[in-house]
Amino acid sequence: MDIKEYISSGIIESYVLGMATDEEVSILECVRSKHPEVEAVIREVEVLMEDTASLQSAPPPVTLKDTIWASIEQQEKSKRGQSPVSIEENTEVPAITNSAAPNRRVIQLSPLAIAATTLLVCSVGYNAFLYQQQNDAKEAMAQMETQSKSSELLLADAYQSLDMLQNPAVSMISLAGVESNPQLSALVLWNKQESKVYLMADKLPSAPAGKQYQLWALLDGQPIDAGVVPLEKGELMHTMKSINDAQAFAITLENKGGSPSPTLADLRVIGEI
Amino acid sequence: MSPITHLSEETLISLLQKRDRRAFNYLYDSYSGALYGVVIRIVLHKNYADEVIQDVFVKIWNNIEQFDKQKGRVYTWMLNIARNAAIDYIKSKGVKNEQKNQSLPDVVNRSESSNYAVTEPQEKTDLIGLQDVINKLKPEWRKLIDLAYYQGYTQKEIAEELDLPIGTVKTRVRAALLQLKVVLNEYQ
Repeated sequence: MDIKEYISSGIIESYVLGMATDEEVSILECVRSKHPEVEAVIREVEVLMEDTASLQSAPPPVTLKDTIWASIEQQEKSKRGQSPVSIEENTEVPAITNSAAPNRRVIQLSPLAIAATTLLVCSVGYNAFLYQQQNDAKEAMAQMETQSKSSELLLADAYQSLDMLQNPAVSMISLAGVESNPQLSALVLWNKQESKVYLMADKLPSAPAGKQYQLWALLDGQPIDAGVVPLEKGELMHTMKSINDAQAFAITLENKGGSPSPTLADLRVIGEI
Repeated sequence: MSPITHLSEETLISLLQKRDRRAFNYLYDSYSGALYGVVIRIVLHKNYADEVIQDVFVKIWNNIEQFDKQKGRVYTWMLNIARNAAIDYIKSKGVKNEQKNQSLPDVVNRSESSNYAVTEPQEKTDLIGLQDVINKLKPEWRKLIDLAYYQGYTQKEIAEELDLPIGTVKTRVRAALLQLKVVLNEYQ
């Protein structure tokens, strides 16, 4: 998570509205001290809520002003009897930073303890934020690595296909969609000398759950199993079962794992040699 | 728009620290309307609001020494004291759960003329006639701000109430406040 993402996540708004979790608050406290742009957004949202409050003002009853002053004066007088203006213990006051945690007790700590605690919390919180950032970066790198590996494989595949296409022993049979699926196509490369069959089926839609495509060689009207098309994507060209002789190739959609004989109703593409 | 038109926050704080009537007058005249506006939207009744606002000013008066200007603006600090005092008051009255149960199902469908604030219609009469900026937001955003800001729901509670993932609650709160900003600009 970078700072931009952090800002757009809505954590700052949640904080100002008083609904952030304690953990989010402590992380935000540290992030704000190190990133002026976060601080600026916090202020912006605070001012927004202030302006809203100003616009939504409602005058209290006029008599209240004197009543409140009277009670403050009373309190000041009774305090003056004691030591200088001191703040009562157990006075509940929300920490400015922690907008809405009702019933939070103010625990009396020595300034040194407060400083130490703040530092600790800040360091823990900021580390959590950095850790998150680091994890995100690691994840991105791992992703890129996987991507580059798969492009290497694709490239190797492509070279292999190119080699095969240049080989005079290899014939290329394009399989076209049948009437019900005219938009489909696939390509079979068949090295008759070595009996090797390769299939490019990337134009076929993914097989539905529980189903799998299966390639058939047709010889004198008899289907010969040429293997199922692997379910996982990645390889451009699949190596299929060896076929010595054929007049056509076809693909049907079968139950996962393949069938001993083709389901002709689920014929997808076919091509004659 | 802010009530502090001729005194900086710093002047206000140092004035308050002198603890005299002049300081109180200034504080009260500048902020009582805004703070009362927040309080009454939370407690919904004038007589409750009158009680809470007294407590709010006494708290501000007594705790101004604890205000740390490094950590925020004094106006926001006072708003939070008012919000917390009002939410605590409602909780102590045991009104909160009652509110929760009544309010949520129909907030979104409520007609535009009514207030977003919750409870039975006759209980909201004390809010009638108040300037209502939040009400100009899209209903679901108004509801979010209402739950978070005026009812003190945690994000977890909001997520459960609205059946949303917590991350979505946060990004929606952000969207709601961005729209609020646009609405406010129309007033300026």
